[in-house]
Amino acid sequence: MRATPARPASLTEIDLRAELAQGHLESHAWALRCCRGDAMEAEDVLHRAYMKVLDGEARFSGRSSFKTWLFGVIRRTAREQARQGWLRVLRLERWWRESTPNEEAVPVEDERVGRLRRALAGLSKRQQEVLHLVFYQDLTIQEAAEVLAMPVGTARTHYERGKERLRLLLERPEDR
Amino acid sequence: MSDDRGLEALFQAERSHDERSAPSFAKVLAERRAVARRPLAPLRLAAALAAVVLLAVLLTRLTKPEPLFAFTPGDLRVPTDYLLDLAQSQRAGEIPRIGTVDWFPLTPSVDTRREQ
Repeated sequence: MRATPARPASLTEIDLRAELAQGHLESHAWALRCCRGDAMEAEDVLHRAYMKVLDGEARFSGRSSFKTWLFGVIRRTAREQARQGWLRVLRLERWWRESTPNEEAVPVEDERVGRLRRALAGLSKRQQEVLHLVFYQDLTIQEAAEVLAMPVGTARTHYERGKERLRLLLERPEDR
Repeated sequence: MSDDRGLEALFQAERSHDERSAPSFAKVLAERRAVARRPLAPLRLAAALAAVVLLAVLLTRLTKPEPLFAFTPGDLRVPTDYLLDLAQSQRAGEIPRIGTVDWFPLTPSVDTRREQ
């Protein structure tokens, strides 16, 4: 999905809810990226980010597209959560969940997806974020720079270097 | 660029995979409702009450008027006042004798002053 163009800030709660629902899958994927692939943390971050938006704690000013603004909120929320000590409690809970039988069916990971994820792990966090925003989320480099609160030139550098390194890592035969 | 297309295809595969495992929007909002309905934790309530009481005590202490000491002439008696009273005593000229019972103590100085 392409980023929706910037619109006036006067969004009612119904509008906000509709916007959030429409971009929910992309938001979840971004939250997952911000939480280093931890599904439980990502879900919690997304929940808190939605709360911020719906409760008016984070207000959409209309200066950027709704999607880039929301991604910025999700990223900040993930950073806040990472700083909080009770995350350890969440991890303990995760350990508990993992040790108990899971009722929800998790889809089997595609071989290509697994390869991509292993290769991405070899990049810097910024490079991973920029590539995710451009290739996965279909954002432009400028929009990615807005989400990551960095100059466009810096985002472009991360994009080029990340792409180059990712190709190298994907071409390299994996040790089995 | 063909390389970019290859990367795009990989990311699209990842996207399709994630879409199958992502929690629904309704589930995330249901969590929101659960949090909103959660009653105020007793510990938080107790902490809030304690803070209010502490604030009230501090405020009453800060606003309590300081005791005002007003000394007016005649009210304050200092321990050496009796020396002044000696001069007006009827027995000022007498020579005290050992064994005289009623020479000491002097009459109370307050009464003599008030009479003046």
